[in-house]
Amino acid sequence: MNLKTNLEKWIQYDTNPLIIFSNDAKVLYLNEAGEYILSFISPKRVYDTIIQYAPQELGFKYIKETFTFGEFSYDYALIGYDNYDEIGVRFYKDLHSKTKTIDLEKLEEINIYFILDLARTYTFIDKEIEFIDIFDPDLPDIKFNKDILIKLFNEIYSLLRNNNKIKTEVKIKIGEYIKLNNQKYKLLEIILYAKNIEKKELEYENITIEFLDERVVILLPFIV
Amino acid sequence: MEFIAVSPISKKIYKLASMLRDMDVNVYIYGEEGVGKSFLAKFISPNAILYNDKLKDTNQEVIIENITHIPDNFKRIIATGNSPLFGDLKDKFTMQIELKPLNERKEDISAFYQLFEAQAKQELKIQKEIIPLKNPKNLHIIKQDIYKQLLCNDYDKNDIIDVLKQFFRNHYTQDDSYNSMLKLFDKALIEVLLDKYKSKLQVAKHLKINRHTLTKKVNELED
Repeated sequence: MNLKTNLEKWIQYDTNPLIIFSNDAKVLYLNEAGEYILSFISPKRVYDTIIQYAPQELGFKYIKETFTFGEFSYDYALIGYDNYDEIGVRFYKDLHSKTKTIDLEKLEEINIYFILDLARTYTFIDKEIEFIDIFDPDLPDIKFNKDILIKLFNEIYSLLRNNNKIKTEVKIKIGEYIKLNNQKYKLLEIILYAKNIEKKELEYENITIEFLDERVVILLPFIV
Repeated sequence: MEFIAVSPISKKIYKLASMLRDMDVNVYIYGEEGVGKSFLAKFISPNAILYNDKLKDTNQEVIIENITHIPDNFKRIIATGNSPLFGDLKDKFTMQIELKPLNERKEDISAFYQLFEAQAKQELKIQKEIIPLKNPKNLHIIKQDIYKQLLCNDYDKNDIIDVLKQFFRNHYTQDDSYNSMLKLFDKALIEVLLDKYKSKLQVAKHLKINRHTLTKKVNELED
């Protein structure tokens, strides 16, 4: 085949993200869609996810799985490598995904630590729990719907009731963002560490909740 | 408003309620009758008014007792009921707080007695020592007991006759005999004197009746 067309440009402008990593998680190549994702999500997070699904031998593999990175969601991915130094992924975007919005007028000023304390007092009203907190004292109040946040943390803490100790970390997530109303916002990351976590699929608008091994990670838009 | 919180669970309820004062979210409080639901509702939202059908100003904080439906989009609703909510009604509330029965927070009972006793004495202008019940079922019983003890203390014979008249009016039936009514008198008198003199011999002596007669009466009262 002798094409005059530059195939790399087709890849470059494709809406499906393509990212090639070195075997130490460095980004070697990415198209525009890939670059867009990595302006919100850390490359390490994508790398750590794809190596879990990589084919055992040289080759390419389609994975039918929902890959969620913050606000991005994909239905499946092509993961593969033709040498042992590089690994690549191409995500296939969910064409039905909508632009996320939030009604800024309806948001209320919230102290996240107060909400966490309220949810704990409520959830563990009949139980003594040791709480270890890693809080950022300089964190300003955020703007969100307080009813939703209280319900969210009540529900999540109730899934951790089977513990004697819970560690809570609150920080601004570095290198990841969420796009709401076509505006990019930082993310507030709240990580609850506990040995016994009852996992449950939770859906709260504009909030990402991930149940991982011995921790729950909650990402909220950091709107101040 | 004095919030009684001696038991560990009540201390946590107090902390939660204090925090909720600053959060204008809807709260539902449930528990048995006489556990303090209305008081807690008022504590959480001191400016709230009691809801009625005619209330139209939705810019109000309202307290709805024994809620069955959400009437309107009021600024804030604090509702009470006897059991937890489910479904759509539950979703209207950010939190559901259960107030436990008094027998699950016995440490609070003595403090409730002290509070209600002081209030009752001030209202009635009667000073008298109150002997608390050991296991009052709820706060209504405590209040009733305090008022009863304070009022009974000042009764004279005419008051007792009035009380008995009211009792007979309300409770006398055709099945009650003269003797069964007299047993009320016997029971009150013998129980108090046994408590005072400790032995039946002494009681019989003071009442100027035969000891066997007294024993017979005591046995009858126990049947």
